[in-house]
Amino acid sequence: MLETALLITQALLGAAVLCAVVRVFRGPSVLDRVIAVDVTLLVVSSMLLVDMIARDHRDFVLFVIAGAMIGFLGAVAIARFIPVRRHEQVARPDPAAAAAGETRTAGTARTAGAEPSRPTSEAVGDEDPATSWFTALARSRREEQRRARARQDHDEDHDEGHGDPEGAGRDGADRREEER
Amino acid sequence: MSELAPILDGVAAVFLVIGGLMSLAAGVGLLRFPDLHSRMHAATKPQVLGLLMFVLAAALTWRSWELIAIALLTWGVQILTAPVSAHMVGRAGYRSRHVRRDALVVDELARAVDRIAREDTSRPELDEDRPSS
Repeated sequence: MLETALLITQALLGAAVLCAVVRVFRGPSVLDRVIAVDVTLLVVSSMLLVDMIARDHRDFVLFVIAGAMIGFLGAVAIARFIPVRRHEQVARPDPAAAAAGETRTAGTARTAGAEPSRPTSEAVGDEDPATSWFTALARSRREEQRRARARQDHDEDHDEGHGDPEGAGRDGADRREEER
Repeated sequence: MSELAPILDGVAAVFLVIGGLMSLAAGVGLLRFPDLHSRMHAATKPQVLGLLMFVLAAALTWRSWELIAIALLTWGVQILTAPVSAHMVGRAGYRSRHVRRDALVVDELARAVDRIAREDTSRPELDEDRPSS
């Protein structure tokens, strides 16, 4: 009886991991992926527990405890660094794209029945612009380039400019400005 | 004790299957629910109840007090940390506007944000933060 239950449980846990991994793959925002990864970690910990029951050993106890801790830390760390979206950055669903999304969603039979009332701004395959890794990466890269260019301009100014201490002070102020 | 063993094993088997069903429910919920907060609702099922079921099943099959203590420590850590991480993720989701407002019945946080934005003029960023009504 216990053996059958163990088999069934492992099968259920495997299906749960598959679902969570699909959500990690599709999830429109980082936060969706975070909770999906959290669930994956937890289900793997459960698998370790089930394996300890099945083969009657106690080798994985530490891993299960560590898994509980790590999942917590990861979720908190990532959630802490999600940028707060301002009003102007909120994606306005523009009608043409919405219509395109509608037709595409209707076209693929897979999503037509599954998620009927999904907002079009989060349509399948569309990355959320505010929290996708790629947009954030591109944005930070652009910012970096802009700063490098600004610094270069400053240096040129100082070369043809006047006293050093004044220039250094102005530069410091500018840098402080940038950091804010 | 020996006549009790099959009963304990049977109870452990039931707990195991319940825990597995909880985990599967979380997976299916993650896959099918429409927005972040409902997915979080599904994701908490194995965190608390599922893990408790597995820990109890392990305790029932091991039958040793110190291992039961360790297993319950695992569950205690989980139940202490899960609300914190859920709070952080939920707040980040609200502030980055992953809320589907048409699916909400009541949004009490919007009222609070409105009130603070009115009363506390030292935090002008809340003005921009206010949810679009």
